[in-house]
Amino acid sequence: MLGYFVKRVLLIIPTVIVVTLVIFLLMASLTGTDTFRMVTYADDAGTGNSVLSQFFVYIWHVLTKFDFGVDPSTRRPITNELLRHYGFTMRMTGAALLLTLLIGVPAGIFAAVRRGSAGDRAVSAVTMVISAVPSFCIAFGFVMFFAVKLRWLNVLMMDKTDYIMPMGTIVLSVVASITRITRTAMCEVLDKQYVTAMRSLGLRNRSVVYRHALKNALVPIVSVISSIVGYLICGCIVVDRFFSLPGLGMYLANAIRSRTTNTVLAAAIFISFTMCCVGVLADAVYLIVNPAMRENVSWRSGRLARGKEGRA
Amino acid sequence: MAENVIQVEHLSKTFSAVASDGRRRLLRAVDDVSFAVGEGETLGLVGESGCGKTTLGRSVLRLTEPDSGRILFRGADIKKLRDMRPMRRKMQIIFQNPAGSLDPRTRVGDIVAEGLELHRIGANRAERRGMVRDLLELVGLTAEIAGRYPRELSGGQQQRVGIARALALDPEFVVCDEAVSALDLSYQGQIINLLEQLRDRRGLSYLFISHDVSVVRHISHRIAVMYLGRFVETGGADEVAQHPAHPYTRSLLSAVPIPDPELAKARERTVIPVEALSAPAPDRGCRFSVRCPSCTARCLEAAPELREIAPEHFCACHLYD
Amino acid sequence: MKNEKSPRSRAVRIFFSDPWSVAATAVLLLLVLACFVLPFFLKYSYLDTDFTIKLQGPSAEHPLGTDLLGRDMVARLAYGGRFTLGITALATVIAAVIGGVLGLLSGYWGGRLDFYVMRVVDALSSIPSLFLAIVMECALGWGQGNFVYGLAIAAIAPFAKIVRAAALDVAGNEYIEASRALGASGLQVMRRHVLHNVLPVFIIQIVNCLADTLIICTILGYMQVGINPPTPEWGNLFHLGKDYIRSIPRLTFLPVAAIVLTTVSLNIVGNGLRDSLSTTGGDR
Repeated sequence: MLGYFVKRVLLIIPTVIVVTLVIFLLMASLTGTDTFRMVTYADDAGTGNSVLSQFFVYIWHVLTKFDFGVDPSTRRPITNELLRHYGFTMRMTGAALLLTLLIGVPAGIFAAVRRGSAGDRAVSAVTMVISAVPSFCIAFGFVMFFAVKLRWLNVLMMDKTDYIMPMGTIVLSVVASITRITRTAMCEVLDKQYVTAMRSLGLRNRSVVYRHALKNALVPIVSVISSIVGYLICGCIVVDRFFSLPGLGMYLANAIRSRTTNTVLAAAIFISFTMCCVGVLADAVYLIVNPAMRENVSWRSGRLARGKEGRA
Repeated sequence: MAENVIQVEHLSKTFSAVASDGRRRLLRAVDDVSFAVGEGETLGLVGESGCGKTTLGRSVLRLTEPDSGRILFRGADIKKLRDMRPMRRKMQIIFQNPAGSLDPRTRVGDIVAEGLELHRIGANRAERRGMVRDLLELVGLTAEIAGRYPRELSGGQQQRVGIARALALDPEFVVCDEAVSALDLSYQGQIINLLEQLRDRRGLSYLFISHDVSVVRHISHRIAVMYLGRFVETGGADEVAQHPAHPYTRSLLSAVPIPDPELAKARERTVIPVEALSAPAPDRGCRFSVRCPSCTARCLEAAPELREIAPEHFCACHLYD
Repeated sequence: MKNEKSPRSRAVRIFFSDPWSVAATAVLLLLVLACFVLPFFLKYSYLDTDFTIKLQGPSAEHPLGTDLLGRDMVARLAYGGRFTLGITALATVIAAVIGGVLGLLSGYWGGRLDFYVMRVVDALSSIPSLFLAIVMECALGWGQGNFVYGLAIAAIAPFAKIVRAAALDVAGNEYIEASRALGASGLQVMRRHVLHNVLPVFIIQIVNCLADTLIICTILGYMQVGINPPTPEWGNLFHLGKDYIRSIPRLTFLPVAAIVLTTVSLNIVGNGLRDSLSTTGGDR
């Protein structure tokens, strides 16, 4: 099993490189390759070369000097600024992930255990409506309700409490998904015959539910965590714009308006790297939760085939 | 002497699979198998799950390409053929899983007619529809079933559709791959009778594959017992059933319940200890040695060959050397 | 006489027996009518600015009022809908065709094609779709024409994966082998058996993709990536009215309502389709 993780960790960098290449080629093919310059450097390296050689120059700079190029207008290196914004967004994402799990999983269990009842149907209806609303609408709803009508919260981000609305927005936009998946997973497990067997053996319902069923239901949840993190990151980006937070969202918006491919590409690399790491971590948690798989996994295995991702 | 409809010589098929721990394993599903099936004859193929009989059935039809060996249809080597399409009209297969072998989104009539359409048999649609009607009647179904979907039929009816589909091209040789194993017992008898009737009326040759010894004994003229890719015993159906030679055949037969309690008590049972079942097969020596109650030192060193121990009765076991 | 219980008629019957599905379908049809047909009957275009009547409330002349440049809100919404829905639909169609074909060939033929296609698809899907759309937009630059391609590229990966999974699932069945045993070539098997068994999953994915792409489209419009005012797009409209959230909520509320209505309806229709298209499980 250790070999499997070594291999996965070693594969992160090559994977990111491949992803960068794919994006690079896509962007190149869409903009036209004759007057093409993807990345600007302080020393003007790589100008005027073919697409592939530009790619190699770029990778070289990134891997050896951690240099993602400079902003063409200001000529300042973007690495530091990008790191700052990225760090902020990552912190938000982490906190949001925690909150989402803390709210979503119990809600899903609640709905599953009371399957078919009014409570369950209420939860299902609420999650369906919430998941249909784009995040900026949710943000808008929050602002309308809490800032305007109730005048409880401020939009100005002066102190810690002002983070409630942005965090709330991000969490809400994703929590519906987790709730749905948890509910489906719990329902499936509770339907299984071994649960009935345990109940007939006299185990208290509560202990059955929480100790045994939940452990097995966690499996599909863990397998979905990678895509959840992806959605959370997107949510953070949108919310940045809305509440003017110093995260990736603001930074990217400006970069896009001025068409700095540097920044966008670098951000893509950061995010791709994050997603790969999250993937490996998710695999680790998956193997903790599902001990049956531990024997079968070795240095040679491919990526773990986890359950269906995305919509539950 | 009439030539054999099917003659298989030294057929082998090996699969290489990557297990989940990453290691590559070679599985010799069919290992140097030879047999022949004459006109109107039924060869029964018995063995437990995983012994390679399904792979053998599919290899003869080249649905799975065999690695080596010869397959002769009425004397002509079909293994080398580039285009199997003309041969498909002579050799067909009936599958095990009645529901899984029928496309759930196609009507029964179209399922049966598929072969006719592919080979442009019948001048027009109306003529083909007539042929489908005849085929359905042949297998004991009413013509109106042609408009139904497989979901609406019972297991027995679905299997009959599968048989009608196979017979649409008027083949001479049919592989019945566990054709009745997935059916309820009441349907099993019906389908077996149907298969026998069709065989007699059309002079079909069958390769009847099953893990159920009693069924195989009933319908076959000759029996071949397969274990881990090899034939361990072949002979006439009655001969093998009454005088099983190989220890594996003996264990298969002694597992079959005998209705008469007196006879049941009197019979000699060959029981294989449970622990032996999960041990892997050895590379040298007889593959059955791990589970064999009569295993000797010689069995561990050399693999036995098929030898004639009685007229037309072959067995691969060192007990008979 | 042919029995009418074909899978298609069964699916239709089940779908329309659910009142929510019917309602959602009706809502979607109305929205499409409102956005694509209604504009022909409107007096004002979405471009007619008239500063004298800006930020007016609902009146006989302008049933939904005017925006900050004096433009008729009904026209803004309707044309905005045309843009948003049209772009979303177009991007979905492009992604469906490309992703669907790739997934089908990958799943059915397997081998090297499958390997390489799946590597690229995995690379694309390791980036969250909104972000991928942003990246593509940056490359493509402004202009409505290119906006579609960015959205489409972000939507290809899920199509490819889902269609491939469905194709693999179908290809493992014995009726495929039976068809080959009858003498069908690879292409014939695909046409006769694979296509219509993969279709249900494909259709459901189209509806899901429409909903997801719609949200991404509106978010991009809100962030003003790839769409210039004065072109109306529901996300765009929201952004323009954002400054007046407190004073004139109507400006933001209307596009939000339109978006939510469309997305919820699409989700309901998607669920309904999923229930009605599940094939082989027992008779309903």
